[in-house]
Amino acid sequence: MNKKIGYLLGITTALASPSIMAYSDAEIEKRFQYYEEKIQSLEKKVESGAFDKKTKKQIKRNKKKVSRIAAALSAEKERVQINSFMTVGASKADDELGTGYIFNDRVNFRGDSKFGMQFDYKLSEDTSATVQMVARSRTDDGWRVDAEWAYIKHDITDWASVRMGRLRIPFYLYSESLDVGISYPWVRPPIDLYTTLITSFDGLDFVFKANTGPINHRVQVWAAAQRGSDEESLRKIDLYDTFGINLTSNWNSFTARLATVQMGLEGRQISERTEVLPKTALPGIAALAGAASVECTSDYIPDPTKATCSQWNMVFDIKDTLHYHSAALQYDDGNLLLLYEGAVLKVSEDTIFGDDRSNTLTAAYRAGDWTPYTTMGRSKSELSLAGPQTKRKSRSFGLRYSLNDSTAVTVEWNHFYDMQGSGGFNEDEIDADDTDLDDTNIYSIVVDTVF
Amino acid sequence: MKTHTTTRMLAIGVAFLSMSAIAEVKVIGHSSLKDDAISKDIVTRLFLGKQDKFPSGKKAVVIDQEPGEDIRDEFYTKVVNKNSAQLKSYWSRLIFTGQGLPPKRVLDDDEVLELITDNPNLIGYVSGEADVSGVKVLLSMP
Repeated sequence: MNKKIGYLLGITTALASPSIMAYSDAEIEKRFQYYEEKIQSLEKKVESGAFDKKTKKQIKRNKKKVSRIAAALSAEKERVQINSFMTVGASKADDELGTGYIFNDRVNFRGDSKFGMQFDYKLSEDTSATVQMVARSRTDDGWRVDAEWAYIKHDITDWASVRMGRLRIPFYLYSESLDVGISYPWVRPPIDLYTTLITSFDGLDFVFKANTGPINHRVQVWAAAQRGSDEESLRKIDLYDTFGINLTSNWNSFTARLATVQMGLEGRQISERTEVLPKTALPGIAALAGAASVECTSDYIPDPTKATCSQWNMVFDIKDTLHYHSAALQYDDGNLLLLYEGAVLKVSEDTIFGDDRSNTLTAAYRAGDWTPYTTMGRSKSELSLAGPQTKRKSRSFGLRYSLNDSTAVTVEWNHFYDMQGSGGFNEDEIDADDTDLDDTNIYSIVVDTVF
Repeated sequence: MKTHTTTRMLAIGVAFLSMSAIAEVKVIGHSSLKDDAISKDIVTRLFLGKQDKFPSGKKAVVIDQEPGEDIRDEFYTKVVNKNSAQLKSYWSRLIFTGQGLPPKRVLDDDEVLELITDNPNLIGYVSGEADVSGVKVLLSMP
């Protein structure tokens, strides 16, 4: 033992307590020894006890971190990503309206409700596969699952890629994310524009990306060919000679889009009628309507001679070339959103569809969790075999509230007015006594989420 | 009484200091990067998937942090000018139209630093308190 330290300790203890003055050197030495042992044991205790707990925690945290990093890296290796979206909602209209959605005069939980799941597989550095299955309740026969997207993508270079398979028809700015409610402010994109008969195509596209200074451009060229688009109102239609090109440019808050589509349609549409008529009168009516043929599907039971028909189908041949031209201009600075979008539909052969023209204008303002918005629209369809000229204007007001990052609830009121004819709504769906509607309303509420 | 007030003031001061410390965002990359500083615009374009190269031409891979981390909200509101709901909406549109997938996410500043130290292609963000001695600070937002 160091004598000096012992001496110093002696002095301090002596100063602290005068009674210790009586201790001999040996005694002080002994006492010092005792304290030193105690400190050592305490140190040991600290090392094995409280301090170790902290270390353990640190080790645990490090281990967890390492595992997280390892997991992140292995996820990169696995190269699969699953993303889903879902909308549940209800709507009610003043009248029975058919527009590709189900709107009627009772509260209806079908129509806007849908669920989609997307799988992205990275096959190699430059090749990937994507499948998006969407279940929708839009048609009368309940929920239907369809592959909206199912394609293999290959990056040819940094700025060019090709996709082959099933893709969304890129008619308008939001056509490709039509089902993903969280990607736009509305309950559903304005129906003045966004109710197309077909939403997906089978074919391929090329996407090119380029920058001019700070402006990003994306050019998409696509071609489709498919047999028998299976749509409720349009049975047995083949798509051929169908091409499209669109350019989307983005600069800061501005997005501009120009698109053109040519679609060749060939097939037939069946129009179901319920009206008691003598069978001999049917061919004349069909000829007047321009139908290719007519068929009695149900005899009028009270007539035993079976010369009267109560239900009959008119079959229209469709052979048309459709041209869609559309333009969109959007300003979105994070708070204020302004969107103009318009389209012109030109029909070459006029066998069934008439020329069509639609314009919409939306303004939305995000204030924290609240986003009020309003949309104005007008559309006009020229006279065709499908019906007389129709016109309508619309005004919509809505409010979205973000419940959290990925869930929002939206209420919307659509008011349609200045309607001529069926106003562009499906004439067959409108009640007989409502055929001369001047105006009508749709009220909706939806909850959108992504996960 | 007087000491009480002083302590209070001091506590408020400390709170403010720590708030401003959390509020600072640093965008970082590997120390071997040729780029010395990257503008807010470029960082935004990188983190929104509109660009995948550093201005020097090197391929850039973005690392994000988990939602719910304060620094993540701070970074996206300050640099990218989007809150988390807007960000979700933005990526939803890209994901479900096959135009892009959001960046990979890690747990916290430490993981960002650890990964960036090892990989010259990565770019990420950390809070002002993080020790950035081993990496290059490309943009600092107080």
